[in-house]
Amino acid sequence: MMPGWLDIALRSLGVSLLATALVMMISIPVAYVLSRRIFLGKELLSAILMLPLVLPPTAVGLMLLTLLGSNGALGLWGHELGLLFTWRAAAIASGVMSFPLALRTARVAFDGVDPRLETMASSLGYSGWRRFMTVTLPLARRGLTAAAILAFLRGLGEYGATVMVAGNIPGQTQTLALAIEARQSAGKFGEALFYALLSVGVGLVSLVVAERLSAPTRQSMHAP
Amino acid sequence: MNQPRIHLSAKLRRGDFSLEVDLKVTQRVLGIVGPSGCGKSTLVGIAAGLSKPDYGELQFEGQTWSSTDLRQDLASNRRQIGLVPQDGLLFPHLDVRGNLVAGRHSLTRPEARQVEHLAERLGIAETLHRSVSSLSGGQRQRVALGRALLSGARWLLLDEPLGALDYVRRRSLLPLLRRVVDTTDVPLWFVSHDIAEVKSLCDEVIVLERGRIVFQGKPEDMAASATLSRAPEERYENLLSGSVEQLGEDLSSVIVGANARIFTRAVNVAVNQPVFVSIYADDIMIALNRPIGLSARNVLPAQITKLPSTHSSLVTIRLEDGTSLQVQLASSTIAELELQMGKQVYVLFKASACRLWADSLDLQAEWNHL
Repeated sequence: MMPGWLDIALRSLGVSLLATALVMMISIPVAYVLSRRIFLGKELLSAILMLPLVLPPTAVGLMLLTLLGSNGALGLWGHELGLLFTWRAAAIASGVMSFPLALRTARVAFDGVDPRLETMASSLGYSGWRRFMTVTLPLARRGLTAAAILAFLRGLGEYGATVMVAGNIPGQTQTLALAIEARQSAGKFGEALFYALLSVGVGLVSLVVAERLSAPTRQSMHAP
Repeated sequence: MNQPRIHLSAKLRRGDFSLEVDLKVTQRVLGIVGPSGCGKSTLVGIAAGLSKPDYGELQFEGQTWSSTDLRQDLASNRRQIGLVPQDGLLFPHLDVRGNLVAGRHSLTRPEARQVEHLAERLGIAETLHRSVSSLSGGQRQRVALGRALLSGARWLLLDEPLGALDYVRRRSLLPLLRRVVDTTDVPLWFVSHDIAEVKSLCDEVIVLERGRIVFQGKPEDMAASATLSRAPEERYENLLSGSVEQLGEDLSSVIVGANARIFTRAVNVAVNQPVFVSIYADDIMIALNRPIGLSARNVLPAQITKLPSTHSSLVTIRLEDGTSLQVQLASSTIAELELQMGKQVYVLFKASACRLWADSLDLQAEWNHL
């Protein structure tokens, strides 16, 4: 076994989990607004939010680097938090990369909730917040789970944007994706292959768990 | 003139459709009828605060709920509306019990027992812990009705609650609706395209056509209104609310209206059970004198209260207890018998022409309460 392999695998999972949490916190409200409201510039906003999907990851990474760098718009904040070249920066990078997938899936989930059920909840006296928490969110549950799973799985393999803002620092920011590249460019083909196989293992386990999480519940199996 | 309980005026334009009403309602139970697309549901939506008129005002029992002039609008979640739509709109992620109590913030123990009791009265006690997706159409409407009743609504809006059901289910749910009407004391608006249904349940009726009120008045005056265009092949059905008086070997008697006794064929229902009797207008005959030696079991003295308008062949008669019936007669017959307003006649119909509608699902619960 490679020394430090467990460390790298756990860091990969941790980075992806944090990224997923960040992505869901932002994409749930944004997706809900996009699904329910009509406003000027909605299409343009949707397009901008989908950009990370079509841009080269390195371009996204570069923009993040500019934003979070000491001269960037969020530089002071990023500097104070000591974000750049840490594993948290890796989480932000993979979060930004998986955001479009999660947003799109969450929006479809909210689109699938009959707005008349929300109307019914209002007539029963539910405030906006209670209605969202007890009717909309539970009804969109499966789609939102799928969104989180996609974000997590997409985050696991993230390389391009991550390497730009977090670097490839062994023991600090090195995830599985980064470790493979580092070993391969150092000529350690065998080690690179080991990490590639480890990614296969981690990916497979994650996929199986994800499949479990998104399987229809017994109750919804009755649905016609 | 009574102070109106509800005053709703609204103007609204959406594309080709426009609604313009100024409605003052003094009676508690209002029926709203009209062809589909006439604005019935829009009117209910405005009442519930779910759609906003371009211009309008809503006064509910002395309070201004909304007014475009005063820029006032009580949010829909503060109106305490009990809404029952055509398809029930049950929450698919909750079981039957969860749906029933969805309009309550919390339940005390006696209130929880009240839920059980209501479920029993609604005939859905067995389904309390089932998923709503496993319910039949009729059961779904029972749950939706229960949810509205339990929510402590100040105003019940029933928007074609039976509309999605077939004829038999619709009729067998009528006794239940009758009981809802009888046991509540809040304003109740009942939307339907079934004139017979509305006549049998409501104190006051409006007829909407293309977004305008074309009739407002007592239900018994409605059928004679020329504006209600029914398909000519459609038979007019008299629906009378009553309860079973006696059960016999081959005949049963039902008391309808205030005190009119109608004989029907023997049926498998309980004495005192609330039922509806349906008699088609073309199954009723009229005689000028009390006939003797007749096989028809029902011979009732009556008075002619309305002759048919040009578009109709329905004569309205009133039984001694005040119950109104529509009788279908050819204009030549009316002329030959010299029928006039106020004329004393006898109505005749066979026991077998009466169909009895009871809430079959509720039968067990009813037995338990005897």
